[in-house]
Amino acid sequence: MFSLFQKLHKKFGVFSALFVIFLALSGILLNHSQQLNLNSNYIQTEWLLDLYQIKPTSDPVGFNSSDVWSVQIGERLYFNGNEIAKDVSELKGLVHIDDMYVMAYDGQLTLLTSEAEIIENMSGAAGVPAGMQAIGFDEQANVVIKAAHGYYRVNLDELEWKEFDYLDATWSEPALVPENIKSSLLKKYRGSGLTTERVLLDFHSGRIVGQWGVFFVDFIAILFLVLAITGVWLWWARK
Amino acid sequence: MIKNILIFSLILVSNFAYAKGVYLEPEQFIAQTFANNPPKPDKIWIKKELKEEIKNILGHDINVVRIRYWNDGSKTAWILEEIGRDKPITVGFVVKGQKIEQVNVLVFRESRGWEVKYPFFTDQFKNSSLIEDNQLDRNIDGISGATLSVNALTKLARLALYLDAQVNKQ
Repeated sequence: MFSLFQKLHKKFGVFSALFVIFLALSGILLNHSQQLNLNSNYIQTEWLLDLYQIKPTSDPVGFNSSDVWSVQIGERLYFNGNEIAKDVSELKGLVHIDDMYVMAYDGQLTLLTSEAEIIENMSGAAGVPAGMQAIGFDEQANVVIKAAHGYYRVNLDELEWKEFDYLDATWSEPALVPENIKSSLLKKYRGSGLTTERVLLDFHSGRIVGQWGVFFVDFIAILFLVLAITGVWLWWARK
Repeated sequence: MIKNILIFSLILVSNFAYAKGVYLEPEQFIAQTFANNPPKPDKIWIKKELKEEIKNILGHDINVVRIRYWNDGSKTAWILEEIGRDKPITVGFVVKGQKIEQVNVLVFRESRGWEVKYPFFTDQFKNSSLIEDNQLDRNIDGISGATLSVNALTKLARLALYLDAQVNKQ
């Protein structure tokens, strides 16, 4: 019995040593992921991004105004090549008024400079009407919103909203995003979709190779249990 | 016993289901604050000196050039955002006499840390004010598992008080 336990302990010990080291190191790193910025550090390795299928589920939707593009890819929103918002449901349009761009999405207006500096975010509290459907501008260069309950003309500086039954305007319409802009934004989208923390966590749990990886890590954990039991037994038997 | 376990599980599941989301629409928060008669919103421009102080409060640059607020002469209301872990938390603050009168978590987008919406947490900010270095005059007790959300709300409370002081100075 003693020699059997000794053999088991020795063989399992050598086999599992590498995993002990890996799991201990990855565990320590995960415990301090916040301090090590693992949750804000993004993977750029193509095969890993492919493995996780980091790609948008729908085609990019873009609006163009004065040669500047506002593009929604998946749930992310880009303006002039810069990521402006995450968790976006639907981009409604983009207009260029008085050296300022106004982007409409999800009941919100975002005012930007051409350098993608956000001047202000406006929501319902600032008067943005519910059920926003389209954004445009009228002949006097006022921003015009078409919403669920009517048409609105707004002075964005003074935040004066006027409601109308109908307003004629040049509405912002979706347009085909040029290939070079599309590919550059898709690269950005993929490059900010997978954190180091998630990959490390999946290596740690075995999920990186799917369900069989999890079973394998379970098996290694059972080996650790056998090592602990045989180790204590051997110590006790010698004693 | 089984019945109790089922009820407990149901409470857990329902809590989780309502954890994320819009708790109070920002426009409703403003309407409630000013008894359905809100003043016209004003704006504060984030100039260089303000930007530096705000950076000290938030720990990073603020990403907007101007912020709207509502001022009826006796109190100011602010709707501010800060990222907890990955996504912004939208919080409404009412400041009166340089002290926080009310805090409401309006929109919570993260999957963890939503417990900061409860009054047992937000009530800690009531009557708090700024002392040296734009710190709060009290310690805010954390919630285990919601440290980042707690930090975000604490920073925003300091920011609301700081901005209120700036607009009252003007």
